[in-house]
Amino acid sequence: MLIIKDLVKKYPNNNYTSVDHISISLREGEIFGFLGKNGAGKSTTIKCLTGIIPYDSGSISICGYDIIKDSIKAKMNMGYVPDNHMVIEKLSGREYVNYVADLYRVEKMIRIERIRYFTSIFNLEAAIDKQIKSYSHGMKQKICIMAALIHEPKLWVLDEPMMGLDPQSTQDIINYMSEHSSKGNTVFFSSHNLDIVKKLCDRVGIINSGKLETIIDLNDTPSERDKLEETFFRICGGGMVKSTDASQSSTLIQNQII
Amino acid sequence: MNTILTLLKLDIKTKLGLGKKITRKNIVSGIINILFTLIIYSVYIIGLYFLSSIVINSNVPMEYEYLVVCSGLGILIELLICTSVFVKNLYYDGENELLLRFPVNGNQIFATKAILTYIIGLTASLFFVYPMYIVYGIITSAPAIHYVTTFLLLPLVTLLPFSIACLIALPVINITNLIKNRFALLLALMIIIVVASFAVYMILLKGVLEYAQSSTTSLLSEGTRDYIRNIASSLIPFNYYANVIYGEFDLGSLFILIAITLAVSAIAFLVSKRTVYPIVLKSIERESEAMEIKPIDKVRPVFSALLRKEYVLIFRSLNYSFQYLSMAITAPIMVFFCNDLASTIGDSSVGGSIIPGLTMLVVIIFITIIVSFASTAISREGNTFYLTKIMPVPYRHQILIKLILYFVVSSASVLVSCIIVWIAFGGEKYGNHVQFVDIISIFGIAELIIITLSAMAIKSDMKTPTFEVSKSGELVNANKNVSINMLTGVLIAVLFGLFTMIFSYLPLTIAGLPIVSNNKQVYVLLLIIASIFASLSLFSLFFRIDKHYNKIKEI
Repeated sequence: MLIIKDLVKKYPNNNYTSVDHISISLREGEIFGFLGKNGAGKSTTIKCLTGIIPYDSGSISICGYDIIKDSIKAKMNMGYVPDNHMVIEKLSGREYVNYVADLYRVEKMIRIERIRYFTSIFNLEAAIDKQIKSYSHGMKQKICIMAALIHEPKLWVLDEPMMGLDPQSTQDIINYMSEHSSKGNTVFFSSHNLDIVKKLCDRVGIINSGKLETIIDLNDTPSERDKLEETFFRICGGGMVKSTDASQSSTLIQNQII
Repeated sequence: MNTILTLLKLDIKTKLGLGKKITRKNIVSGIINILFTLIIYSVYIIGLYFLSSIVINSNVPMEYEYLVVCSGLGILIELLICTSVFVKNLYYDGENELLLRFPVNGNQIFATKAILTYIIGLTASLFFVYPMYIVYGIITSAPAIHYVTTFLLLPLVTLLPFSIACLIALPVINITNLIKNRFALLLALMIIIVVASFAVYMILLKGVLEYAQSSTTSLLSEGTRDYIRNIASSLIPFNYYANVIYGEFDLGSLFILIAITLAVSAIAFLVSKRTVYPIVLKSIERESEAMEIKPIDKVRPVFSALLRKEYVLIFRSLNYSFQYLSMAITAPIMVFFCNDLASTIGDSSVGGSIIPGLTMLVVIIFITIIVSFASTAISREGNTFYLTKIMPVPYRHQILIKLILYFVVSSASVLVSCIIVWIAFGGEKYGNHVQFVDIISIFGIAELIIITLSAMAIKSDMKTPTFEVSKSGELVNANKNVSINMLTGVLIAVLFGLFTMIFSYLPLTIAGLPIVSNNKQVYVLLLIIASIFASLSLFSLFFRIDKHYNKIKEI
């Protein structure tokens, strides 16, 4: 579904390597959580894989299409929700989603049905025909999500989607992430919320200083689910690390799937 | 007081762009901006001197009346500047919301903005009003004290319109808030004002030129002059400024002037103190008011979806729609008036003969202004620029849509301009100087120049976009590329226009080799040059576009 091989990204005029030889391979129907401190390289990785910024070396392929060489086909299979929930504020919610649907060539009846469905599950009936500039943070985020899903992408990428959302909106998004992956689609999202990640994800990748330190399969080793905070703080530093031993480290290394 | 000073320092620093990193590019664009401003300012000073000489040196001197008119004009200019600065800085500045979160009260914000407006007004007085008094002094050989007196009078000249602006800004902002979402009405009003201003200016200029052409006729009859004299002497408070400057120093007039100014200032202060803060809060509240849009689930092809989005974004913004449409609508009217003016210069045959060249010049200048909007084509994407990167649409198609956007409006404007010239100046009346071949050629050359300038503008924005947008998503500052592209356009306009004017009637030979000997050959040559320009600019825009577009960084 998504194959990132040896990805390297260094911003111009910056000695620091933001993404340092990262490799990830995502399976169909899984939810993958991407964890790391602020500035660890999560958003840069996501921006590279969505085609927003160029990268220095490595390759990214989405559903078998290279994001550089076959970018249009790759983008057709992907939906992206940015961390800043920026949308075209002068359009109404419906206009914006329809505009995106036009770009992804979504048929009329399908889009009408999907807009109706999303409007209902995200509770946007009263706002959908108002200009987006009057929307709250959460409503804008929901419109971003609707636009990203209007073509039912095989890969759904979200950059810190729960940031600043109320509990109800967070739950709505979590529910839909599960629903989307249950249809065989893949969800890749970055987050700072370890509780949500351990409840929702099949696998988790932890990035620190541009390097992917580990990938943990939470289904194969359920005990890792409970220890996620501990693992995260051990790798990234800070927090309250309870214990570390050699066996845990060895499990972590074994769980790396590259 | 310290808070006000700190806020003022911050405001001035932001407005002047101080503290930004100085790069070679910034220096170059800064120099170009200064040159451009100097050229326009020189035109103002020369025009002022020319018109002042006509009025002051006429057979019946009108020095006092001149001073009354200058003071009146000065106050009017100041009033317009101060009102627009007040409205923009005090009510529509996005930073109000930010400032109110800090321990800063409404009166302190008002005081800061008021001081800043006064400083801007005073600067405008120095550069626009003071030259009127200097020109007066030079023409009338006034003593040195005249220059000192008028200089010292400037703070007073600024204070009165500044105080009135404080009062005017309140209803202006209320009316603007009321009709904020009625774009069509506002846009139509603004365009009518621009077109009418241009038309009045050209009609006045034509009158002056006709007067200047003939030494025997006088612009104004004796009766009219007496009438103006009576009016001028009763024009309160402008006559008091003239009384202070003209002849013996009139202390009484100065006291009256100070009293009027202080009275208006006191009223403005009391009214503003009570009303500004609630209006600022109301404006912040109304900023996020939104329109309800009728739901239409229409499926559009990618091309028309992109084009529609561009138009929707332009026409749901008063600022953008004004930039996009105003000059396109004004251009045909200006082409008509400029040619009308040209036909009055000299005898009709000489005047008529320059019409094709002049049309070319004016049309290309207006194309330059219209297309300058393309210099922010990428920057205007603002915070949603990422959408252009993630959408499954090739970058070349997205850029092509932007190119079409400017081509459509400029082409329509050029077409109407050409038709107007053909109808108004074609045929026998102007000695058959304007023929169908002229119109078709001018249209063809202008179309190629539109492509050239649009492609250049988009390319320059692609290289250095700014993405500095306000809360509403609109671009805060014009891109620095705008002035560079404007300068290029004006240069092309002057070269093409003069070339057509001169070489349509004078053969051009280089080293004995005839290059052009009639207007048709001139057009062929210019079409070839314009085609090369257009091809090169398109090549520069689209060649390796993916690589260049990918390099664009977000905010």
